[in-house]
Amino acid sequence: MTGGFGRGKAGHQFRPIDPATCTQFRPCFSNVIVFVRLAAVSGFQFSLNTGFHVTARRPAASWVKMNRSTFPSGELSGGATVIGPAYELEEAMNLLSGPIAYVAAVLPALPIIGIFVVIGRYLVEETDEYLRDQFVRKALIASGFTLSVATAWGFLENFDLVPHVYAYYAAILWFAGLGLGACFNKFQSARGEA
Amino acid sequence: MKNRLKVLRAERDWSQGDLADRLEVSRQSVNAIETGRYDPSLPLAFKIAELFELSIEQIFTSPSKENDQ
Repeated sequence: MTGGFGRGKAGHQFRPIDPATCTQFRPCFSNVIVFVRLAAVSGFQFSLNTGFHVTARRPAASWVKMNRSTFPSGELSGGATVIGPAYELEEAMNLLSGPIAYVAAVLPALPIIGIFVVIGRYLVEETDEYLRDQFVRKALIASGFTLSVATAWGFLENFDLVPHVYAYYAAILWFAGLGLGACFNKFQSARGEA
Repeated sequence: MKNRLKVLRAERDWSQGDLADRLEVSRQSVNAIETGRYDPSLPLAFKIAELFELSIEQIFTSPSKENDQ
C-alpha cells in the first residue's frame, strides 16, 4: 500500500545539502523555532496539567484549583503540543543529513519528554494521596490504551490494512488516554466508587 | 469503608474544606473518604484520629464488621 498517510515518507531519504544554496541553516532554524515553541507550549501545558508552579516547590492553590477543573483542555492541549510541530518537522528532516539530522530530529522530542518527566515529578511530589491515586489510575488507563492501540495498529500495518503512522503519535494517544482515564474516574465517582 | 467523619465534622461545624485544610489534603479527598469511595492510608487515618482525638476504630468501621452492623 502506498500513498497513505505518511506511507510514502517512511524511511526518509535524506537529501545531501548543497552548500551553494546556503539552505542548510533554514531547517536548523526551523527546528530551533519548533523546539522553542514546543518548550513554551509544553511548559504552559505542564503547569496546567499538573498544577506545578514553576517558581515554587509546591503548586499554588489557585493553580491546583484551576488544574482540577481543566479537563479535558489539559489532555487536548497535550495532544496538540505534539501534533502541531510534527508537520513542520517533516520539511526540515528532508533537508538535513548526517549526525546533525539525528540531533535536529530529536530536538523537538525533548520538550515532550520533559512533559513526562514533569508528570513523574508531580506524582512523586503530590502529597494528597487521593489525587495521586486518581492520576495514577488515569496514567495507567492512558498507558494501557496507548499500548493496545499501538500493538493492534502495528499488526494491521503488517497486513497492509492501515497506513503507516509515525511512532510519536503514541504520545498523542497517551494524552487522549488521559482524557479517557479522567472520564473513567468521573464515572467511578458518580457510581460511588473510588 | 464506613466511617463517622461526616458526623464528627458536623459536630464541630466544619465544612469539608475546613477539615481538608486541617488535614492538609484536598477537599476532594475528604469528600471521597466521607462517602466511603476512598480508604485513607494508615498515616492519614492516624492524622484524622489525632485531629478528632479519637482512636481509628472510633472513626472507621472495620470492613469485617460492617455486616454485623
